[in-house]
Amino acid sequence: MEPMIKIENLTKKFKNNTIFSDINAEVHKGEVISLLGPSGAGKSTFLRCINMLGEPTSGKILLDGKDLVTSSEKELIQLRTHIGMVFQSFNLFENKTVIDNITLAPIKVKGMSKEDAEEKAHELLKTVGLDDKADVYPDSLSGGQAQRIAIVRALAMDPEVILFDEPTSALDPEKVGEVLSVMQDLAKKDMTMIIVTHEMEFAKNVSDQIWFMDEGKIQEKQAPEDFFANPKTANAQRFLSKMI
Amino acid sequence: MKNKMKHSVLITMLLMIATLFVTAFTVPSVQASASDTSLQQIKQKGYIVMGTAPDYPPYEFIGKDNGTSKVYGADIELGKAIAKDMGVKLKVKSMGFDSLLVALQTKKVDMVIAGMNETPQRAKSVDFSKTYFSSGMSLVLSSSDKKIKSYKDLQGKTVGAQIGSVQYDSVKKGIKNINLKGMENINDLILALKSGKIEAIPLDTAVAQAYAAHNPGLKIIDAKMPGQENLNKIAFFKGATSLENAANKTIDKVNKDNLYNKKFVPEAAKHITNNKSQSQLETMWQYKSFFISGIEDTMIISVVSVFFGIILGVIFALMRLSHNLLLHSIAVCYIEFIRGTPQLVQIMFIYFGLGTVVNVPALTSGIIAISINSGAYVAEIIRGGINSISDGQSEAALSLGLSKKQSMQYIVLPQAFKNIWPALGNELVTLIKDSSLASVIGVGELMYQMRAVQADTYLGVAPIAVIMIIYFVITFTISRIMKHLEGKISHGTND
Repeated sequence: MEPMIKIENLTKKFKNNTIFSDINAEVHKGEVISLLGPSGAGKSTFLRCINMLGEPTSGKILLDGKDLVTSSEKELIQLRTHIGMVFQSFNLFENKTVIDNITLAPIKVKGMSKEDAEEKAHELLKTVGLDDKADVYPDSLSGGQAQRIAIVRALAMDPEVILFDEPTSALDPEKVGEVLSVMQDLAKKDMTMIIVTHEMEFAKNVSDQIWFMDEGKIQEKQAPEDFFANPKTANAQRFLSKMI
Repeated sequence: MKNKMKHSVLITMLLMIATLFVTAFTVPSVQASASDTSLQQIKQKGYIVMGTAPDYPPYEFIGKDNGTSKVYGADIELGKAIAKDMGVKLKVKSMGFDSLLVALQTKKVDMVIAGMNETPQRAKSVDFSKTYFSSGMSLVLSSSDKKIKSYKDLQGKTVGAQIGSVQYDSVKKGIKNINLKGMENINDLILALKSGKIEAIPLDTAVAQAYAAHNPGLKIIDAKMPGQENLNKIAFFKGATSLENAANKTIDKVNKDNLYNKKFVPEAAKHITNNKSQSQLETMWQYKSFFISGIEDTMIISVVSVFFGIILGVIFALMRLSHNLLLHSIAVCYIEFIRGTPQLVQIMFIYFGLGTVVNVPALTSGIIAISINSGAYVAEIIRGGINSISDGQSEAALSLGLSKKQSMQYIVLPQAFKNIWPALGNELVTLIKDSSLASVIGVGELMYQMRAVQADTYLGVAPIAVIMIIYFVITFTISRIMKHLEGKISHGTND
């Protein structure tokens, strides 16, 4: 089966500082990938390159065979609609109510009618138990609520894949569970996901694959049970010994 | 990269300024070389534009006519006679005395009749007609003054005179140790004299008489200064010989019959208002139409300039934030140049400078200059507002497939505007206050109307107080409205 996302020789440098180099990786439909690694390993930078929020210095990112790196501004907008993203700090639009946060892109980008977009938004909100928050502004939500709504906002575009950039790092410990359970539900429904996370338990239970990133490379790609039981590289062993 | 960018910005800026100066200095020589078709041009137009500074009764002053303000005076009667002899209509354009010759050189006006005397300096830049009226120099003093008997007693005294006037120059040159205060406006001089800030004002005798007659507590004496006979002449664009000759014919006729003294001055005197019997408040009320039309112009300037200022501000803020080096450089030059030059100078440059290329009316010039000025300040406010929005907001928008433009339009700018609302309110209030600067080019806004009322009523302080209150009411109302709207746009989620 052709991979949904294929990353070829991806390199990112800031001036003379190499963040990561020559990364090759593939993601297949329905896969859940957890991207682990020590802080500063370049995980978030790598993730942000996948939808071109950060521009890679060289290499290719193919989504269903189309290269995002060399695509025009217009093509890029089109390709991005297939890639959802959930941010560490939620990034809900502060000037819009919850419902408008969710329906903005479906209406403006996909040309959906307001009624259809809102109906769909309410359905999605019900699945995360937040339909009663439809008309409030983001500043009155708790972190856990905001992040669940951010996930709903990404889902409203029917993406093929969702990128999660440390989705629970900014949450109070007691709110982490509610966000992880939403993500777990998505995994069960075969949503393709790439997750940068420090939640080892979650990565172990939910992922199909663990990518371990350190020193600007993906050093290991393994099934979670293998990775956690037998990390191959010394870097991964050191990382796990600190985390668990 | 950074250094290179700075360099190109600097170079662009220098080029811009260089172009500005080259344009400014080449224009007059081009015009001077044209052959003289001045009279023919006037006849084709069907009207002749006379420039004057209407704070000089009885020569020229603003009077009321059925509630609307109009320029009257003996010089205006002369202008009418000249226009009539040429078979065209007369249009009168008012401005500060200082600006008259510039207006003539930049062809804003066809002739200047403003009780003006010929001086060697002035003769370098314009041509003068024959003398149509002569009058001497007098000194306006406080009636209690016993010491000053003639110009000789002015030594060591504080004396006020109108900037650009013959009296100013002759007193400055002819009297040693004089502490000379120049002011643009005769009403200001009279006020200064009444409040004891200056001890004497050298003025044209006819003008001095008019002012003294309307201001109790003042007296006039002959200055007795040799060579101070004021020969009033008409100024023309240099080389406009045919026009000058036509006017000289009329002047000959006028002089032969002594029409100026016999007919023009009495005609003008009819319009000099006499307000002595009324209280100042009643007088101000009578002039309400002046103030209302001033408010109208002030509001037109402010509203239109704010509108364009915000549009320009958004454009230049986005340009300055753009990664395109050219757009960025243009925006930086514009913003820095405008913020680094006085608004008064910009207004005059647009009116007189741009006026050499296309003929722009004073009100439009004022609006253009103030919009451009405001645009630079608003651009910086908006840039600050955009920078205050976290990158996460636009990243989230882009990740959903919105374009950069949509992200700006729906997410970043609305939030930026909310944040900068108070700063924009301040800018609007500043703009309303600064619109008073447009009075220098003769825009009939509040400041200008205040001058007109001063000149007409010989009241110094009351008109100032009136417009001060008007300005305050306008700005206070506007800042209240902005506050109210601020509460509305910041969504009310306090729970």
